Amino acid sequence: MKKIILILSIAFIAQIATAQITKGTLQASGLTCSMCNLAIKKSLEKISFIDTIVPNVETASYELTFKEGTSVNLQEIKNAVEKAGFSVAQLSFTVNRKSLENLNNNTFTINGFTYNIISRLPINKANGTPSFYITDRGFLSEKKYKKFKSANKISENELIINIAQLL
Amino acid sequence: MRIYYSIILLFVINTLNAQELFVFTEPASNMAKGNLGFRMMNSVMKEIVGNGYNTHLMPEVMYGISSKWMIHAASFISNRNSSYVAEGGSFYVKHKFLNSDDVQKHFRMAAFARYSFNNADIHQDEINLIGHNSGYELGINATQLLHKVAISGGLSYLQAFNNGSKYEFPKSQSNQAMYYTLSFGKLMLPKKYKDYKQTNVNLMCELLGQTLVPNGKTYLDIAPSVQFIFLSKIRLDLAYRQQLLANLQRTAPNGFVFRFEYNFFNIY
Repeated sequence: MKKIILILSIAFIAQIATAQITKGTLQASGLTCSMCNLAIKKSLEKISFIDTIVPNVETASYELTFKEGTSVNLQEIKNAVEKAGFSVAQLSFTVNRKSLENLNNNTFTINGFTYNIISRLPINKANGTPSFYITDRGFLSEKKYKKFKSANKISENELIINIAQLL
Repeated sequence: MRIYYSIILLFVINTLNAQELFVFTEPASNMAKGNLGFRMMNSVMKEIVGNGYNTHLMPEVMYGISSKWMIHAASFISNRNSSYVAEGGSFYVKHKFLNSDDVQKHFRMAAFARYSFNNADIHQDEINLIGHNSGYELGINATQLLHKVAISGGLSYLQAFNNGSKYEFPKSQSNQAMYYTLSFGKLMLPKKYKDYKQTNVNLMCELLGQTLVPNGKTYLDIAPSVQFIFLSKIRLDLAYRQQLLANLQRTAPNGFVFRFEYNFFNIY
């Protein structure tokens, strides 16, 4: 009986697991020195859904984890970098498996944001959870953005975040 | 003593790349939105006539309104006439209108305006809105960062006024000038970053020139400096300014400049 209850509990917990962005990596551009790097970190610290920030001063990149159960708005990360006076070179993130269970025409939805996968490998269950990076303007270099745009892959809908799988 | 402590407390931080945080010019980059900086500049210049030195103190506050706009306000205190006297102040606004970033690179351009007021006597041909003349300045600057090296150039127009009601601008002198600058900075240390606590050392060299309009009198100075950044937020500059050539009259062109800065993040 105990075993059955345990199995049912696990099944129930699995059921209520929601689609979620779990962590991210930000590569910033326009800076070299540690002072600028710190300015970006301080700007990121104001974002409520970010849990931890681990900076790499040498490469101007930041490993981010997000608070569980909060709505992650990746646009806010870009805004924070720009407020500090710099730009995003790449913003990648990892989602949990739940997010990818019901892919609809290569899109999935998390907390009201629709993510449109414009480039990906077959999402194989054995691969674990894939990482994606945002291909919209301002989330990567202008050159890379234009490349995606000229291939007609970018949806201009403001409510859709275009992403590509990080290889 | 209390003043001394206040001065120590004043000092800034910037969100700019340190190798472009020049001593005598501003780069096209701005501070981060919501950051507040304090700085104290102290110049000790040797008088050409006699053996005296004159000392200027310039406390300054800076604020990032947005990533594109920032403002400075400064006051000028000098002992040129025996004791320390507040002689004036200035307001400065800068608008970054072009920004092109890449990993460890950027090219930026900005337009700026300065308004200065001063009640000291006018004692030289040179127009100097940092502690000597009342007037305004309008200019543009452009800054290129290439990994550890930064190069910045500026061009501005200066218009001097009377210094208060007491000192009229001499009619025999030109009250307008073009001011042009070229600055180089290089991050020397650390060779490789590990954390925010490493002290950064930058070497800089600036060329500063002025030509009075319309009489064409000119000076050109060179100003090498070494800069230390502590804890990624405290900045200390040590600079020396030397006149290379001049056919206009100046009272104290050569000397040392010290500057200390501290920055507060996310204030508003």
